[in-house]
Amino acid sequence: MISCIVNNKTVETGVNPGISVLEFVREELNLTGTKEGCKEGECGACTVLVGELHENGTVKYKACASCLLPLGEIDGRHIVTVEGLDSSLLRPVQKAVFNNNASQCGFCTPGIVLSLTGFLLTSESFGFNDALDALDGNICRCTGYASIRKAAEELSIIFKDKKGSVEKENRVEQLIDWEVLPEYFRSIGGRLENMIYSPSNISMFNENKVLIAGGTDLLVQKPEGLLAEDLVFASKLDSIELKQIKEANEYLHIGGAVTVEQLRKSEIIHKYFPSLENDLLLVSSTVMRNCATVAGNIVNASPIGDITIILLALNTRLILRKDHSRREVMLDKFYKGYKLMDIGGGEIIEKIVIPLPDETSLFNFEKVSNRKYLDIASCNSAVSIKTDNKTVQEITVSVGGVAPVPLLQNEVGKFLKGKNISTENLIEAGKILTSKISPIDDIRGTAEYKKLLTRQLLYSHFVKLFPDKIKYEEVAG
Amino acid sequence: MEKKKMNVVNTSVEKIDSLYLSQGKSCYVEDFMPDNALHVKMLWSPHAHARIKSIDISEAENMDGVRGVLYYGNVPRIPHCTAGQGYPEPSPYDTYMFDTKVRYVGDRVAAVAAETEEIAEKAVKKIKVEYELLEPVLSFDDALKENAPVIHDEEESFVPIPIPYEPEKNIAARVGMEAGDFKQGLKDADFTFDEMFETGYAQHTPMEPYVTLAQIDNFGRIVITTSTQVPFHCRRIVANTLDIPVGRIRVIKPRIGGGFGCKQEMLIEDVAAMFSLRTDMPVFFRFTREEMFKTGRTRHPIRFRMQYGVKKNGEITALGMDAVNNTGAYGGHGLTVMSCCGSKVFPLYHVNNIHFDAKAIYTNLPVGGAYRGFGATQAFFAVESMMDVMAEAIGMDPVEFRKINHIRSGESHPAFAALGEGKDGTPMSIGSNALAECIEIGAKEIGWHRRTGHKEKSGRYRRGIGMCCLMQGSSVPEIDMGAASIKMNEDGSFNVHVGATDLGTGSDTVMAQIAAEELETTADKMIVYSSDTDMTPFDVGAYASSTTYLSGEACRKTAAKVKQQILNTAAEMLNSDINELEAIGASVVTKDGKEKVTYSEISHYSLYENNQYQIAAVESHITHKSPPPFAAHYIEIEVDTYTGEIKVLKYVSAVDCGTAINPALAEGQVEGAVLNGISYALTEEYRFSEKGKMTNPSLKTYNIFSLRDKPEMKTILVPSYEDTGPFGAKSVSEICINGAMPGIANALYNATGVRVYKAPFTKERVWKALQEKKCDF
Repeated sequence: MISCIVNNKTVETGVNPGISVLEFVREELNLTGTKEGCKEGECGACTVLVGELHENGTVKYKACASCLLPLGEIDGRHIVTVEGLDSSLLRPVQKAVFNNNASQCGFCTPGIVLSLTGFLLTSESFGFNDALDALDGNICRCTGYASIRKAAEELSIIFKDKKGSVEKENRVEQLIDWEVLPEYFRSIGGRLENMIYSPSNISMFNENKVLIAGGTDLLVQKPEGLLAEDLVFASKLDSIELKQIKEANEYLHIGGAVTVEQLRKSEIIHKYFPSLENDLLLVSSTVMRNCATVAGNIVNASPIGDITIILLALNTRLILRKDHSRREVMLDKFYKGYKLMDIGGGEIIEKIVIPLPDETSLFNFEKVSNRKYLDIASCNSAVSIKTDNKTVQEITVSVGGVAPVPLLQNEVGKFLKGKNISTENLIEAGKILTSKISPIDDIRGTAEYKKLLTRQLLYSHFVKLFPDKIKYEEVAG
Repeated sequence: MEKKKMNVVNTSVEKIDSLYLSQGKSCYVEDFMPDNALHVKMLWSPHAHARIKSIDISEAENMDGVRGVLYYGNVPRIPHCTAGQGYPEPSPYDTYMFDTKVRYVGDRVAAVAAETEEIAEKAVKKIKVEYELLEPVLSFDDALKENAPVIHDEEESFVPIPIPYEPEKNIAARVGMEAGDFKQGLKDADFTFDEMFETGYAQHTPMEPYVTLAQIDNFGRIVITTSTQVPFHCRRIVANTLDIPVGRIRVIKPRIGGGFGCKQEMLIEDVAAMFSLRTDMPVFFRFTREEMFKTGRTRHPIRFRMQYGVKKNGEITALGMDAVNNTGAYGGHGLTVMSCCGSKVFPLYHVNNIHFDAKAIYTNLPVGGAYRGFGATQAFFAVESMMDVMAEAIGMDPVEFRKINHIRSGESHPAFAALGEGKDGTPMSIGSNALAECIEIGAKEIGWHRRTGHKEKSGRYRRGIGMCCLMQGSSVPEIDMGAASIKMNEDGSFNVHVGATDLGTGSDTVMAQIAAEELETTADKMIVYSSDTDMTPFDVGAYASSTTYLSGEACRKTAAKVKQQILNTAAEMLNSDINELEAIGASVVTKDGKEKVTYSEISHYSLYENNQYQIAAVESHITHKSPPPFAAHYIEIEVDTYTGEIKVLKYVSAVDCGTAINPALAEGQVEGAVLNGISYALTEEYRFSEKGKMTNPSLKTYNIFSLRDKPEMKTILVPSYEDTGPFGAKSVSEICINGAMPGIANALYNATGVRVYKAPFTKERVWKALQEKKCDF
């Protein structure tokens, strides 16, 4: 049985937890404002807000693509569809859309309204850039986005201005006062608290069950298959650690249920890997990053997964847990072949552990894809280097899209270790790299082109990290 | 038409539906699905070319929850054309509801209607089909070679009007023209050129896929609520396909989640209607995104051979275009798209000696259809690339070269008279034309003066500026018809019923503004309803850039008739001569200003007081010309010479659409078309397996631009006044999709000295082009 609040209504349902929230709200609840445009999380027409109760009694909201959000994920949570904004009053977000003619056919509009409401719920500063980030998963084929950007800008200006005067600590309360959210949102925290909600005990998970950690890949790949399975949701497991990002003993610990957006926004990440906040923007879109988990990305085992490539270069190891026993695997040893992994039935990724960088460490991530944003890479690569700014002391290079599994380029590392950071050495490293990889022709490019790209990405790392030593024209001429 | 001072027209009144759209109200087909609706799933051909040797539906038919299976054995076999156009269509009737042959991966084999989607999906898998595989035709060259397999070898297919149709040679249509003396023109030139260009497949990807709901009403009629741009054509084609009278069908178009031309086709309604007729149940049929790509309509790939002659002084002496269009397995829009490659493109520049020969060929690939730009998009890539090539050869600035050659007001062009839709075209001369201003304004906005040649550029990232000029048409003259009916209510509001089909463009709002302007009242008094074959008068539908110009004028004429009745009634009320009265501000006043009756009072009088009658009118309109909107596009790009990535930095569109009835909505049309054009030029591409199966039928792998990909865009509406349009208006919806491909190609040349002849300009293709030309890195 799943209990949740949909808009202002408490709902209990025995519907299969593997169906999508989109299907549930449209077909079971007859809330037709949420649209199905692709069922792949690629268009944002199905965006809803998901509210979760936090320890201090407040409810934190995020925008999610409901087509890839399994119903089981919303147990004990609050779901807001466009109907939940209550049309008896024209909300500022809707007004901005209306004023700026930001809707033509209108099919994407409810999703845009919710993404923008999500922006007002989550943005610290109400900055325009945050508004654009919030909209990065909402495809519109009619407007060319010019009018949508204007609506976002108008909201950003209005709310920056309001914020200047006074702001309550509780954003939800504040947005109710500003009429962004209807009055009933005040009661949601209390109602969620009183809701009978039973987290799953981690030891309940075993080889006969399927663990959903986000589900954004699984719901695209085998939506029917999931309906027959006994599902356990990582977000519902009773381990707080699973949902946390922590710094301890020279290591960064990322829990197995941490979402990609949580990682991107984490202060610890900002402190140690400041470039990741932007790098992770290239991973899908806000409405997907809000649901997709880091661990889920790892076990999806895509040879081209951005997060996997980043983690590989950071010398990441995984803590796998089954019931009460744990074991460790280095990430580069985790992949055994195309979509084959060193993980047994009933095992879960409990933690992802990354050594913390010191002041001699540098990190960079590069990606080339057909379309810059929202796209799967043709090739991607990450590098972490320890250096005295003259020689390479330690280096780890990862590349994706050139083999059946995400790869570490140890040969390149071996060659560069101890060498001067110079054009000659880099060109030599580029040669070693291209000789060691064997990409295939596919829809993301020919083998020849991918080889070239991989080499260019290696050069790009050094140009970006050592701009005074390495010039593009010199290495790639 | 006399120019008047506008009150409502040329103002950006709010789009009348935008409030409820932002509130997510139920308004699209799927929102009206009854709980008991049957769901349709189709068995699509897995083969590009095959004959069905046997088919066994028994297991599927006997499954619990399955309410019907349709296949060639149990439906009428009536040749028809799925493309919605003027009737009879200039297209082969080469399509059957179900056939014994499949002609592309994604062709229909059989359909199942079941109580749930899941059951329908399962049942489809239970249909057993034995195919005899035939050699597929998968390219231009395959189709045209001697002894190529014949795709349409059935005897029943035919053309309803006499147009070239040679299915035995895989030629679905042929069109062309000769003017002046082309060969002599080449001889007279100082420079001659002979180049090939090629464009690929693209899909419209409206956010709402094809979706339809068919139900039987109490009279036994079929009510089809459907996402269509052409409700009246849809009604006619379904009636023909099911072999029932038009009067037994009602087509309702609710809100549409975008179309861009792909919904100018009857692709799913016949099957839903047939199931509803057989089961007496509501039947729902909706495409998945994958089906949109694989079996929905596409933009035709076209290969052009361009021959030009030009004199040193810039005079173009000869224009030759030999074009081959891949119409895929069926020829619905084959001829008309080819015709528009000439008629919507050639008149832009002076040239007397023209050779044009265009063929639409059948292949065993997805089917081409109408897509915003309609042939002009592909042809402008070739023509506007060549304009830059010629300008460079004679050492003239590309802007200057276009300035001395472009068509002016009052001038005509042989292509207008020569190229029609299955018959001769309509001779016409250009009326409004602000292209000269567009060129100037755009050049200033992009900073054309700072443009330097490619030889002066080096380094990894290189910037370039390109430009192009464009035109389109406004409606299909002497063929398209639009009509409106307007009636007055006692509070001074008006019901405006139009057959014109708002597919998200805002045309309902435009109609409201036009009617309000003519009626001297405000747009909020207009209650617009579009469109419903039972309730609204006929209109050919939303295509050919016709709605504002054609249906808008129908609406204006209707409003004028209603206004006349209002004045008549007011004259009776005021006991005054009608010539002494005028309508101002929702009232009728005497010219001396002493007496006044409001619209509300007039309507009350007409409905309740004396000589009662309904103030109402219906009017139709056809056009005698198709006045082109004009545009100049300027694009600045940055090329990463190491990866081939093209980044659009700024895109300027200066557009002459006559009077912009609603400037904000007109800008929206420009911006939407521009971004779609950029995405088509850079990232949108169909990939096929060796056997003709599309391999990227997903928004994950078919990349349309997102908000983050959008470059800086500047839209400038340059006013002109088209005498034949409602309040001076021409079209705006299609033209601006044509600019990105040639404009970016020209900018790429300006950045790198490398010209691309094949689109889209994906990173890898650009990188390869840069390699082959051995560009200086």
